[in-house]
Amino acid sequence: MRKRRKWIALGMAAALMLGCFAGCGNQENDGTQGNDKETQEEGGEQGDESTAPDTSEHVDLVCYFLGDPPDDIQKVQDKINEILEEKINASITFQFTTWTDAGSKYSMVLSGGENCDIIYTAPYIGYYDFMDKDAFLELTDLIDQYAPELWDAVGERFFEETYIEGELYTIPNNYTEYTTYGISYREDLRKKYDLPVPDSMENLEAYMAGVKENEPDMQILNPQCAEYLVKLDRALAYDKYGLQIPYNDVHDIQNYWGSDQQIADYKKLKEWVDAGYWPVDAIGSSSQDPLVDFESGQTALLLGGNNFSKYLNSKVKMAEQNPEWEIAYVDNTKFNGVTYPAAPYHNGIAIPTNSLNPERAMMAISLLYTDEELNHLLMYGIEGEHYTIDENGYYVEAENNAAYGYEASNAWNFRNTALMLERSSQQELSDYYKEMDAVASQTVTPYVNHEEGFNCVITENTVAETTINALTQEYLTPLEYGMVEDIEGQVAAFMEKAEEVGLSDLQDEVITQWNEYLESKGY
Amino acid sequence: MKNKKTKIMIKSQRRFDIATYPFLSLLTLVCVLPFLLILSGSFTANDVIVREGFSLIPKSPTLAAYEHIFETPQKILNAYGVTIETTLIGTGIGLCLISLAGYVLSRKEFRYRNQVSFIIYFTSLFGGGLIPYYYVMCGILKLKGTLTALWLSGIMSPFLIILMRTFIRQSVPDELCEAAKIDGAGHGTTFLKVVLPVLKPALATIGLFLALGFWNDWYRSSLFSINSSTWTLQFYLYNMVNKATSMRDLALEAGITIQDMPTESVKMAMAMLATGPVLLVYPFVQKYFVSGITVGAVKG
Amino acid sequence: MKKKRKRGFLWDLRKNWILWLFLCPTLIFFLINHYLPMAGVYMAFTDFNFKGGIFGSEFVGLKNFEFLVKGNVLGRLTINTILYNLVFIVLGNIVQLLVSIVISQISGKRFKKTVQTLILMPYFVSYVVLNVVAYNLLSYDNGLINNFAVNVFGGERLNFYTHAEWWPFILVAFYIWKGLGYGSVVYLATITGISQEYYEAAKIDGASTIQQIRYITLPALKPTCIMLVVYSVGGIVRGQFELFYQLVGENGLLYSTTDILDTYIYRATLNSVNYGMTTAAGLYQSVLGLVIVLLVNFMIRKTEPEYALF
Repeated sequence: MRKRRKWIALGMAAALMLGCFAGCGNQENDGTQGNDKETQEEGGEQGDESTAPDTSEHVDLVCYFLGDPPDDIQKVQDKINEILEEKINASITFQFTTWTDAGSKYSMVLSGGENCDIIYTAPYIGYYDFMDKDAFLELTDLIDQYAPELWDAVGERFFEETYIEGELYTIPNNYTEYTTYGISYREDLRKKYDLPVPDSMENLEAYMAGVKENEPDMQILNPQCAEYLVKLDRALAYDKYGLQIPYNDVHDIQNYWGSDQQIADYKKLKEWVDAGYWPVDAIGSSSQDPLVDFESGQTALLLGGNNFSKYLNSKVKMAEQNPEWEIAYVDNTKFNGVTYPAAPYHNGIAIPTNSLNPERAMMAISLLYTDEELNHLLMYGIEGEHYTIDENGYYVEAENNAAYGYEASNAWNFRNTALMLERSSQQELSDYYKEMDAVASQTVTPYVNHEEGFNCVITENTVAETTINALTQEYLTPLEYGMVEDIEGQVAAFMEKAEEVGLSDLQDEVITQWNEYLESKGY
Repeated sequence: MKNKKTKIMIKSQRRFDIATYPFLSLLTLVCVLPFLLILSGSFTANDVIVREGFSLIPKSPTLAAYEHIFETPQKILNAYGVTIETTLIGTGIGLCLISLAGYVLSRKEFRYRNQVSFIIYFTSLFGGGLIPYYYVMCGILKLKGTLTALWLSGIMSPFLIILMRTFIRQSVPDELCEAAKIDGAGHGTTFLKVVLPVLKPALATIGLFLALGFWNDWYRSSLFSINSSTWTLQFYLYNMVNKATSMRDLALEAGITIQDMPTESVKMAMAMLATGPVLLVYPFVQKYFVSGITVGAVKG
Repeated sequence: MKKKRKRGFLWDLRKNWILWLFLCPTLIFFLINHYLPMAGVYMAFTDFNFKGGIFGSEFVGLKNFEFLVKGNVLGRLTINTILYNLVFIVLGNIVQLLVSIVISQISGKRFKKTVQTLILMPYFVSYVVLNVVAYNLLSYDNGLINNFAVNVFGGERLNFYTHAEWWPFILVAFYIWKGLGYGSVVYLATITGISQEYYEAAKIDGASTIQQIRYITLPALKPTCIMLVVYSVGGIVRGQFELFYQLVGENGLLYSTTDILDTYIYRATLNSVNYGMTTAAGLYQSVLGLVIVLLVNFMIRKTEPEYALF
């Protein structure tokens, strides 16, 4: 009895605590609601009085970027604030997620743990997922009201591609880059052993076999690249959950998992590993990085995550460290004739739902994007201190460049082609982009990046999705490394398990969304 | 008679030593060998590691990894400073609170000791996840960017409190406290004069665990820093490696200049830099929990 | 008896106010740092969105738990997790006990200090680096073990990375190796706390070293040992994610013996932002852990009330 009493007392204490944090929770909600109201009221008043937005009250904005801050960010921030104070009576603080755990930091910042008014978005750090969970504000009205000049400054075409079912959650930018994959390979070895240029599947295999024959100790490629290599001759607009959709025929949805093609692909990979193109237990070493392997001369070719600008980097680096090595690049358009640029919202600017000052944030975005002085401060730092502009209009590193280099604030989402400073070393890259432009204009849907554009968020079959994610790694990853003897058996086992947990339902959901996507965009 | 017994005893000790010396030596070797691999790795050029793997003696030794880490010395010195500061503050405060709590929970006269222990233990089982934790730290307590955020969450853990409780129960018999009580000592005096003095090994152990926790922590620094002024040593190193890999992972991101960094050897150098200072300080703490048993010499 | 019953919490608070004062900072700490965020477990029952926050999101009942049940993996994974942890706890403690007793009894002072310092070193090897160490030991072409087996014994090379049956041993070995130095500190400290008089008396009686260990050291270590074991039982459903993730990684061929709850949850939710599901999985582990630890604690209370955790 006495014991029970004690527990009751403690239970009550616990209930009190619960009440306390439930209270906190409510407060949290009340707080944001209150703010919403305030902002709405503010907006209302402005609408009534005049078209000029009310900036009488000073606000502090917080703007988040990905990655590490440059050393001189405080200095640049002060300069930017001088101008912003004057123009819109606001100051801005730039914050950075650092490179560690950026994804989970996004969740925490966006969930309202702290103020954040402007944030960098990109599909590869979960833009669609966050958008789907109401993390960002719809921007059309805000732009109309507070930054109409943005429509023209960015350009209509870019906005059009960014709209999803009539809603806009991130501001695109108008700098077009081509980042489709290509092969970097050791040209010196090719010359030495008189091998063909790997610009078709046949030549590629001949090249790999030739290198292995003459350099038996050399690893040909990192297995993480292998899967891409096998699929190189197919230009796919979509490739997930066993569905493959060719870029040039977006209505032809193919089932890849369980198909003969898939088995043939895995057989090819097995052949390669048997030929010694990579170590049979390579999967065990997590530190292997295809790029590092290639640049240090361990492997003879590189694909997967490799694009032209990376090739240029490797070239400079390898020429410095091992001048006797020579590398060359084959674009994947040689294999499949398709390329497309990164989507315009690949780097985007969004305003979080929990922002306390969305209006002022929008004004600040507009100024940072369109005002030359502000834009240059943000992108390149202080002229004369961090950089200078030469007589041809090129960007030149200045004395203190290390403290704020070219685009060191990682503000890639504020790139404005009208204001952008180019570096003379970028010439080769711009030439390549022009070349790619020509190819991209010839495709069925010119310039469209389905890969980033198709916003597929599974809502019906989330359980199947998670289970299949887990199964894929268990069954298919070893196949991709060429570690499995019984390929057919492994694929069949995978298919059985996947069907069991609802693969076809999941695929149906993807197909429905895909068709809706095609329809809404008119492809 | 006594002499004979002593002889037997010494003999037995010798036999024990003969049996256990090889065992301990082998064990130590197993613990140290991989570390030598790491040490050698930190002095090897990165592309040699990638191409040829690790070896016990570095092929073509180089200081590149350390040079890279110490490229901006003021930053890393600052990081050392932050780590030392949080370790000292956190360990100090933590030790005080943990020993107080351990003392109360070990007293039989404290009726609610089991319930309170449960309340504390319960937190090791259930957690709300990161988002609510971050909300409490930054939204409610407003600790983002402060040094406090770096040590606050680490000062206590259910494990250390219960460990302390066990230590006190064992080394401070109830009679001792009773005696103090009869002498008119309050809990404050008993704690300071009776309990603390016999608690040295416990304090050393828990202090060591706390300090190691703070020393190795990069996560709080990663979560709560606004700028590099509150980066701890571990986070500084960790983020450096992450930066290099993230930059590479931004596969689609053209136009980024990729920093050239000896990733593999830097990882190894990190392990060395993190361990080094601890190996230097450890022997000083060690004397509190290894000197205990005197062997061989027998009185009378 | 009746009188005593009336003396409730407030009475104790007044009588023992100084003890409560000692506890005060600790209780406040756990309230703020642990109990406040604990409200977040509610996310396990909602479809989280950023607008509504933790309490304003849509309530979806047990939907977030479904992915655990589907595919019939929950039972197998739970058992795997518990078995691994059981071995980690039991074997880990035995080895730590053994080593700390030997260290404390061995006669060379400098030797014992050196050993104790050096066995702490693996604790500082992060799991990322551990992967490197493991690969250097186990790799097919250049691994130390394979080289050794071939060169010394003329055996055949073995590809560890396709043989799942070896991995429980490998994982246990690495786990024990890494925690050895850290774990034995507690035992060493406890041994130090044993009054010297006992040993002196034993020596005078001519007790051998083994006898001293048997009759003095071991009984004195019992409470600590039980405490450590019972304490870790609460976490028995929570796997050593980092260890498994870094050593096994994405090698599906090894999952038949190495898949635990935490790695499965990680794999399943990797490609999406899904706070509900991860929280739900965590909640499952917590509740199961709680049930187990309450059971164990109950049994200990019945038999040896002194050693109960609470």
